[in-house]
Amino acid sequence: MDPLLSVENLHTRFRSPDGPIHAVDGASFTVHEGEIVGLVGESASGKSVTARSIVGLESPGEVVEGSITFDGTDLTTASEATHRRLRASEISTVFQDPHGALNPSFTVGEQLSEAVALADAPERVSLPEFLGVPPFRRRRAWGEYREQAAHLLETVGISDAADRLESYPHQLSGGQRQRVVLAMALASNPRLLLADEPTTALDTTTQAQLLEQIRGLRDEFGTAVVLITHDLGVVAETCDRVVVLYGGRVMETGPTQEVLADPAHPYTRGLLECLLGGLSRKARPPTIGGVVPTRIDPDPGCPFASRCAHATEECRTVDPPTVGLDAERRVACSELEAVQGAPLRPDSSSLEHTGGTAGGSDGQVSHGHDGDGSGGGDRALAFSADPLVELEGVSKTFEMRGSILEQLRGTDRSIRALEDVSLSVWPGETVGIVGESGSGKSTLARVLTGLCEPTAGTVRLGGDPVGTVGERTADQVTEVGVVFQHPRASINPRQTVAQALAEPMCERGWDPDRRDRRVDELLDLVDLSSEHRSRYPHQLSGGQLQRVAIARALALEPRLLVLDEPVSALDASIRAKVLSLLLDLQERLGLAYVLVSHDLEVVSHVADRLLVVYAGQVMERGPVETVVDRPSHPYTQALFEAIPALDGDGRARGLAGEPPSLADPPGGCAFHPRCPHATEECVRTEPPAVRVGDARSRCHVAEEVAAAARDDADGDETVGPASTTPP
Amino acid sequence: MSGRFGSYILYRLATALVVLAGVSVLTFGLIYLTPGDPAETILIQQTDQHPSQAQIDAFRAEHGLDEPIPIQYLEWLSSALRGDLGQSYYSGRDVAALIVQHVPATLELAAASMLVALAIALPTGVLSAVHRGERLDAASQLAALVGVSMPNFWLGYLLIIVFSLHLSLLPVAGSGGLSHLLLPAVALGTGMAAIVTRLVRTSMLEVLDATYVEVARSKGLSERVVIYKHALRNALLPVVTVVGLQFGFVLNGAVVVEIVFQRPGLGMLLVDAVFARDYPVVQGVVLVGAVAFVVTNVLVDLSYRYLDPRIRLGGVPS
Amino acid sequence: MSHPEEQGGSLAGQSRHPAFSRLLGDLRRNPLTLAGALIVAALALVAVVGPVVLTTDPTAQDLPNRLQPPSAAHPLGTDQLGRDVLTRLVYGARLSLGIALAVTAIRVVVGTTVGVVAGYAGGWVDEALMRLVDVQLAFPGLVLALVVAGILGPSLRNVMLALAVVGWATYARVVRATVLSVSEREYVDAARLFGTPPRRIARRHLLPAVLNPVLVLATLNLGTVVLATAGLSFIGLGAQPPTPEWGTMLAGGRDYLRSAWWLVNAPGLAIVLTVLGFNLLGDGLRDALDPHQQSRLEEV
Repeated sequence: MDPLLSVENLHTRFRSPDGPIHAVDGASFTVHEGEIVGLVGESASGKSVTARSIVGLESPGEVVEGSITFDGTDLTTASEATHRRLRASEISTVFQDPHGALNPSFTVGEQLSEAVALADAPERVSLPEFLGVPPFRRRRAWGEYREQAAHLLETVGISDAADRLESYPHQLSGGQRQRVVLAMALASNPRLLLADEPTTALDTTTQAQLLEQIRGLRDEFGTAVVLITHDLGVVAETCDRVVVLYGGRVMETGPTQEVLADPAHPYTRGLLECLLGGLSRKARPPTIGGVVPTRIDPDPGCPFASRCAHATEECRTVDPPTVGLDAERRVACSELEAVQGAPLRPDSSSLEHTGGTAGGSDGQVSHGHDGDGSGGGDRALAFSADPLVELEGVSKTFEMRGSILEQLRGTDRSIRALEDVSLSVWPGETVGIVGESGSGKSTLARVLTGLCEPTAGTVRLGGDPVGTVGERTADQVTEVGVVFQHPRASINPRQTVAQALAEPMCERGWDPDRRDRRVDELLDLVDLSSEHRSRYPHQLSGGQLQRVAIARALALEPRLLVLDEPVSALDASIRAKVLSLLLDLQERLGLAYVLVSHDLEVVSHVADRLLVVYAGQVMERGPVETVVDRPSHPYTQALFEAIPALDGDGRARGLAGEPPSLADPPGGCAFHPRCPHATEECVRTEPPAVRVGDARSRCHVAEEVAAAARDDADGDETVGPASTTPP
Repeated sequence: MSGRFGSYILYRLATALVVLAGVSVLTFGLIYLTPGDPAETILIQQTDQHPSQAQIDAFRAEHGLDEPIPIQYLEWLSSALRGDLGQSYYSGRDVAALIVQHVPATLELAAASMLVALAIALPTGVLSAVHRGERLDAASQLAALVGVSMPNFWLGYLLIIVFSLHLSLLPVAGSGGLSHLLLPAVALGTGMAAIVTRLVRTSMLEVLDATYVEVARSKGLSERVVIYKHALRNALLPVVTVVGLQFGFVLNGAVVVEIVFQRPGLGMLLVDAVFARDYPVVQGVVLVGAVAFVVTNVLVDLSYRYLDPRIRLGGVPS
Repeated sequence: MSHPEEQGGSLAGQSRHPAFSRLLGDLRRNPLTLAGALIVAALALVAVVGPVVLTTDPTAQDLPNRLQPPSAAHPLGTDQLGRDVLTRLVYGARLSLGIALAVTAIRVVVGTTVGVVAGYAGGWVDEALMRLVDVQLAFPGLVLALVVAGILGPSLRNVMLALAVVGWATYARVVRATVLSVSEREYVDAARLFGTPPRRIARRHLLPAVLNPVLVLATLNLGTVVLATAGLSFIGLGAQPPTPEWGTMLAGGRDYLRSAWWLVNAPGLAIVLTVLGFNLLGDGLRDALDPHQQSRLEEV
């Protein structure tokens, strides 16, 4: 059977002041009807541009060579009118950014109806009709379009569809918006759906649901899907076949299971190796060195050669041949034999990063399995000392400053970001804080560091109550270092690396010589060289910048680092590198970490203890092994179940509903509206924190939930990400 | 309309009142900028000779200048609130009546020049943005810059030289009828057109880069629908604000243009009063101008917020 | 080093200040900005050197030679009192640029100070200062300047004072907005976290960020001040005859529109060129320093 879509030797270029950028550089792949094909790669690998080239929206880029055949039509030579007709009726697109994808000025209903109208009569609709000028808009037809729009919303799982039609985009949550975008894409009952990182900006619980819907779509209507993603877990969960892109070329392609189980190309292997799944806790994932190069007027040769351990002189000078491994698998690599001889995830690479303290000299030795939470040697040390920092009954309420009138009437709203949170951090340990966006986890970090003043409760540093950072003594300020999520925002673009690193030291009045020496030490500590001293942030990659940010946080030798989503903005290979660095630094310097992240996989890999936060409350806390293996809160369980796993194949489960409004949290248990176990009691009364094993859980049915999880674990050894075995 | 928007209106009106109070103090205080004693200065100017102390005292008593300044202010304010802006020092005419008499000429000019500005600016700005980087864009951008840099009094003279003196198509000066309005409106409207063109272009460029415009295209909508429905609606939001503000600033340009074309409007009234040190008239015109400006500001602000559903309806805090 | 391969991440080999290198690149690429810079440079040269070269007294009357059209002796003709128009234009350039610089400098200093204080102090200080700004901006600028200058008495000095008084508020607003947005950046949070006191945060992080918008605004403002000065002089409130000021010259040509066209057009053209030069340069600076800032020319 002929493929529905066939991309052949596609070249798309962008003009830039420094020369043409080869964004897509000879990519070829096919998509059959009813098939979900994943396009994977790091950022700037050419995935999105490929998708845009297919629908003719590559502007300001330009397709300079190759062909894109859709159902017998060559799209590279097709007229704009043909493209438009295809977009209206055959090929739909879903973009990544759910916040910008809907027009803020029109209701959801209007925007959906447009798509329906186009599918209904692509040639007939005129500008005045779309503008809704009365005599031109066929009222009855648009009434029907609206009904169809409501139906579409129901299809994508929006319950109160009729009401939602009247909503403006800003009144919806990110997940709802992305569903609306999906509904819009489905309006024409398309034969091909291009989904460009459709779930990247969403919480994992929502992501799992949306992926489920995309699979359902294929099952029900036989829609072909091109799913663009950087996340191999998403690919494993969703795609039939995978196309691995790098430098605008296809590195490897084949059935998902085969490629993930037995990757042939060094780049695919690298991507798989740097995943955390399957590694024992705190083991250092191997990494791919370097970053995706900008392809300005590239020389011939394999684009991956500069980062490849197996690269030969030939790889750097001659384009590698594309080899067929079997009927369906193809690989573009000229050193296949050497690559296949090397073991996947060699031990040496994790050994290379360790050293220093005795606690974890081998990446395979995990820190405390099972047991009562004092397994590792570190932990014993931890409990022997006094806590570095303590939060006691901390609450934070943000007043939404209303108008004077509202203030007088007392009707201005307040938002409960944190409620009655207590936490102690001992020297040398890592406390992980997880939750969905808006759960209050970042506020917790801000209260701890003193950027934000708690409304109630006490923060103690070394036993002494402290206020906000401005009120802390120099010694207290020195105790805590902070690393933020976005490295580019956390370093002043006008400062050189050396200036940024020296800033904390200037505050302590260090003399220039001492500052200089310390800057060099710090650069060395984070694996940068002294030639980076005079660089400005725009001259560094995201990973390098994050290492500078870590170095700056360490400048004054703090005993505690607060890490607020330190790797969320980074590509997988860079993420692995930064995580390894953090683990090494902890061992070498005996640091304590508070790691805040929405990514349960990262947190449970690095942390000793976990706090699961929802609606400003700690829902569950305990040693990481207990929480991972035997979650005793339904929310924790839902978070784990939503993680796409490499051997998952549709196993990840979503969580219905939306996080509650913090301005008006639900009564009883905050989680009850979304909880599968919710009872009458959960609606009425707020559950107390109960002890389940060595964890504590704020749930009325904690014991039952934990017991069920235990049974599950006994029956099936692969619960949670940490135990998903790599192929 | 939600309660939040309703209470925003109240808040906005409250701050406007604060500003208006400040405006009245400043307007009233203007005459104390006069070097020396105001009464004496005015009398010297009126009679061209040094007044006796008795004359000064009489003038002060007549115009209430002998009372403590705060009392003077309160009396002035309470009269002003009742619509009584005092009498001209010269003609003795009621200032409010004078202003009412001069308002139409200025309003006409303002409205006409605004029309000229929008008629030029909207299409030029949109086309410029849609054809970003092309010849048309470069030309219109340069034209707009020249327009912004052009002093309207010189443009007025150029128009007179060409259309009145050489072509004899339109009257040189005066007021009454469309023919008298055309040249001043163009002289005043050109500068505004330039400013608004630049704004429409920038605003449009920003919107054209938005994801939702790309989504609209990916739906298969034609470029016309994408631009005139999805992009323009959002691009015009900030333009509303600036056009409104320009309307408030019309008095600025009117002062000069009215002199060039000898139009009997508020601008001419003000300039004549300034030269004659006819303070009640000066205060009156400045106060009316500032109040009109503050009121337009509030209206513009409210309409902007009303047009933007994100603000009108409030929403989930993200 | 264990990561030599990461060099690929940086595009530029040697380090340069980011804004500066972008600025140079932009100047090279944008001919309009270059034209603006050239106009401004030429004007500055004329203003400084011109009066030294043209030693004729710009106020010397020569009634027999009044209203002469342009000729070799008088490239731009003579006015109603027989004075050489070119000479007067050149001397006028010095006046216009001098006033523009002085007025803009006062506005920058006052406005920036108010903006930084309001943005950084917050609370009632911010509230009070911003209401003051509102009050100032509630008056159409030129009208207020006209009244202030008129009441103080017609003279160039008073025009300068009046223009300075009415123009600072825009700076205050822009600076305050910048301060507020920069204060929310993570790098300011980071600085607070290692104990940097507010004053030093303001100096190290806020002021440099404020410099760019102020520089752009000031460049554009030089043009508007030239326009406003000429406007006030045109009305008769600024420079008094026989001072060679562009606005005054234009006003003097009013009665000779038909017979001596050069009298209004020479100064008119000079004004347009000057303002255009500043606007071109300001636009170029803005695009180079911050491509996202809205293009909005401020009124007087």
